[in-house]
Amino acid sequence: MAEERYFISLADFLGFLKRLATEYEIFVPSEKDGRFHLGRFVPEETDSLRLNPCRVVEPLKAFFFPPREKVAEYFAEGAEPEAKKRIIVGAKRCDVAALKILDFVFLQGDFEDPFYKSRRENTVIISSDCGTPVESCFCGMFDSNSYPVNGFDLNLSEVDDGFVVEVGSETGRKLTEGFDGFKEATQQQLEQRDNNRKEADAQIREKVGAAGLYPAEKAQGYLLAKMEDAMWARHAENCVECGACNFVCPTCHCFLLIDLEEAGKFKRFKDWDSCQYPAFARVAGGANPRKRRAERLRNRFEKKFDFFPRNMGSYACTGCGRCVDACPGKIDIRELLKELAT
Amino acid sequence: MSNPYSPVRATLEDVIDETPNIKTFVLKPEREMPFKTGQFIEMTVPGFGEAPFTPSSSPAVTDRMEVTVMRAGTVTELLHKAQPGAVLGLRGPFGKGYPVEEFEGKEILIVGGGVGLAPLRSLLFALFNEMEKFRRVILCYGARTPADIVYKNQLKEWSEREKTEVLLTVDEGDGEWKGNVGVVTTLLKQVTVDIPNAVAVACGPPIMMKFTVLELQHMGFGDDRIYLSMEKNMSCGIGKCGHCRIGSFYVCKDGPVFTYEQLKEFRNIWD
Repeated sequence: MAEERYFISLADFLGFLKRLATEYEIFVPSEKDGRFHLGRFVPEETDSLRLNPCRVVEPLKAFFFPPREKVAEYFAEGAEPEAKKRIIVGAKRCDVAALKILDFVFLQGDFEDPFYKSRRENTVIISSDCGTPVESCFCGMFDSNSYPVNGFDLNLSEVDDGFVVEVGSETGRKLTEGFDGFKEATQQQLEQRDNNRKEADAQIREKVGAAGLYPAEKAQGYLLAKMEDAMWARHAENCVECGACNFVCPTCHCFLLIDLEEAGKFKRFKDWDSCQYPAFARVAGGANPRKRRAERLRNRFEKKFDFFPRNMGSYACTGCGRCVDACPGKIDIRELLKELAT
Repeated sequence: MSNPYSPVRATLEDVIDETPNIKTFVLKPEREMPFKTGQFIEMTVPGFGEAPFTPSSSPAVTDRMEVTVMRAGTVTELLHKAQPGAVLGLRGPFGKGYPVEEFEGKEILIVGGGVGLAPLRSLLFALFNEMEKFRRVILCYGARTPADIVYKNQLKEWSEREKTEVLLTVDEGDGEWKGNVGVVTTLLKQVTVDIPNAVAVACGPPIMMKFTVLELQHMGFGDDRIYLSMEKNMSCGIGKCGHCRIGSFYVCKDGPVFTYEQLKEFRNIWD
């Protein structure tokens, strides 16, 4: 299939979102204190839109796998998956790629997670090219592209006065149909897009080199050779077991089922959990296969760089660098990855 | 909608005291929950939480389920207080059970420790249901003291069955105990097994499993003929929540029954 792409002006794109806002809850990026976050799009109050030049602060996963979600009200029919129709604007390659990991976890195997599935099916992803990586980004380790090539419904590339829009799915195509703001993209606009992309690709490549990193394919072998290394204990010394690295990670998917009784009703919740918490792997009776922080820190790397490659054929890290920014102990995944190779 | 997180309501019909800290719960789930021997279930104490157990009853019985539980943590503490008539929840079955078909025509050496005899009892029932297919069953079971032996009456009954041997040991005897004293591996030294035509199945505390595997290897069992029931803290039961990882496996979906061959490359599997 030939690449299907259009041009839309910023004004028309806002009109497009306003039209869709009657049917969808829409999230768009907005800047606050120099950082971008996703917030609700309020049609009446919005006359401009600035796309995030890089990933937003929060991982995309929370839209599909919220920090706490009711998954059962037993013994009754009390927990229906949420089916709210949503559009997310501005997701970057690192987040779109992370959804593939979560899809594998929650949709593959003998059991589907109906809650994730419903949210996923009802959410439209309008991604956008990454322009300027932030300090902590190292996505170039995992992909040579700074922009997504699949996994989106529509993708936006900023050009003069608007966007080049690429259609990535049937859902995306349907949305564009019947809205006359989508024009044929000119050769000049496409060239501008391609030049911007080349520039951004070069930036992410440069960052990987500057950080002393290497192509991701090598990480698994390096890790397995360093399983007993003293580096884990050394880095883990700064870990305060807060779980921030897990919570901001777009691929970390671990959760705990929590039961509560409220007003005579038995409810079960799926809560985010962290493999850095001391009791994460503890069993009844007290045995704990990962008693030390060093073992728990290593666990995070084992999951991302060994477990997922073996089970899914893909790394469960996209190089977004959020964990670097979030860690109060300044544990830097890039430094550990670099050290694995030494 | 099929919701894998929602438990089926089950009525507690009977509670059997096995030892001072182990009870068997006889449950009648609202709908039948057929399982393969060795698969596990999540048992819910309503409004409080769940814990994973492998049923100890015969897989041929589908309208009742027996679960043998040692008091070890918060959920099991509450379970031990439950009285007949109580309402509990069940989810499952989950994971892969014992590959009983692969045991056909073979001698089956079963090694149990403590409450680890629970899943093995289910296996024994499954084997006894079609005993013509198997050459021989040898059960070696160890408990801490004579008072800690579970299924006391049944052990005697099994020892009288055709093609079945039962050997017992305790770590520490009492005045009346006349049997073997020592860890369960001391029993393994007393049995004769046709190793090339045998499989071994073990379940018990990690330390017991660790030394059992060493002894089985010493006897000549190949690592792919040693079947282990692994315990980790399975929460979701369906390979999503991430808690029960061993190496590249999740115990909940790839196990709980593994061959030692599958696990031996991984670190700290007995921790």
